[in-house]
Amino acid sequence: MNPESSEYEARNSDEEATWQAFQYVSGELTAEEERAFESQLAADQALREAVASVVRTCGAVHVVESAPMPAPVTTAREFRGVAAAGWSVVFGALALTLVALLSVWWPSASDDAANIADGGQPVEGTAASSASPEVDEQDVLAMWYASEEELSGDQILADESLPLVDGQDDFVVPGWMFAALEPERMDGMVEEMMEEMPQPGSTNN
Amino acid sequence: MSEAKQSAESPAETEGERLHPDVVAALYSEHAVELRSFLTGVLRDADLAGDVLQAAFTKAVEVGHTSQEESRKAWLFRVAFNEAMQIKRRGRIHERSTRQLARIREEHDSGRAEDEAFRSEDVARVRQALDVLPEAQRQVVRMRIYEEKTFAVIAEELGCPLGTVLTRMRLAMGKLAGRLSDEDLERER
Repeated sequence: MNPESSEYEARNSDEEATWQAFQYVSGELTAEEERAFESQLAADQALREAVASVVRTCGAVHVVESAPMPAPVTTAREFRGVAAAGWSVVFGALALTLVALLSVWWPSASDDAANIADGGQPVEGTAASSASPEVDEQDVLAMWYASEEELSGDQILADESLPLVDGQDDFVVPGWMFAALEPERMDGMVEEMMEEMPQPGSTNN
Repeated sequence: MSEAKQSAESPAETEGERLHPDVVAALYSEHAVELRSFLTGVLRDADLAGDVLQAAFTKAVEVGHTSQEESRKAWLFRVAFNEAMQIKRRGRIHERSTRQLARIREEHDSGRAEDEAFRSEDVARVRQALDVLPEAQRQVVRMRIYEEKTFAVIAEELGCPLGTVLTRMRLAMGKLAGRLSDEDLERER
């Protein structure tokens, strides 16, 4: 006999037994059909097990259909978890920013306080002043001017491996770089810029 | 002493003229849930099913040693069925309602504590099987078992021929009950 056909027959037989059992259990059979089924039950263990299986299945179906699925709760939990993680990132970033700002502001404020207590002026350029408070502003300016003179005097750059670009020989340090270290020159540049800007009342027409 | 009796009475299984209590306890542990379900299907009454279950195991203690070990489950079911049919014939079941499924549900809800794990496994398996049923079949299952409507009413509400509704229910029950049977077989292995 073909194994596939015997398997098919067995499955069909199981399905038939289950259907008969369901009809018996759910009261679909007539009195005569019920008696006939019960006489089969007296001799057929597979049919008895089919009855038991149908009863268990019906009970489980009732439980499943009467209970809501817990999926929405899980989704809400997951959403709350993601939201909490997002807020953690935001608060962490804010805390880091605050720490960074404090680390910049705190030494500057303490140096200013010390200078003022000594009768001096607050030092501008906080990073430089906090790194080497003993370096004077005039010393820095002197270093810049010395480097400018070296370059203008056709001095060779310390690093000879760097490629020279055409026109680099006549390189001049721009004025705005010195203005950052020399407040008087900066003030002059700002005034020149303000004069060159068009006034609100004046039009070309 | 007959051959059958000799083969059934191995020294480890019997205690005098009775089955060893450990053997009966193992029988109860292995088959009580299924047997109770079977009896509920026959009697359509959870309390009566419980009474017959106890009677069947009392018989197992008294005369279980006369059965063969390999067919003891079938023997137990047959004894329980005969007991149930005696009760039926004596007319102790007065009500013959078409709402037996409601009683099965009550039996399922008021199960014994030791059956709870078994029941929750059934529910999980049936839920999985229901999820993969075609919606048309699941709808019929829901209306017949949960809403307890007759097939005629279901056919009318769905606007389908009665034969179509019966076919859907038959296919669905085959899949659902088959799922439980497959799992039982795997557990026995």
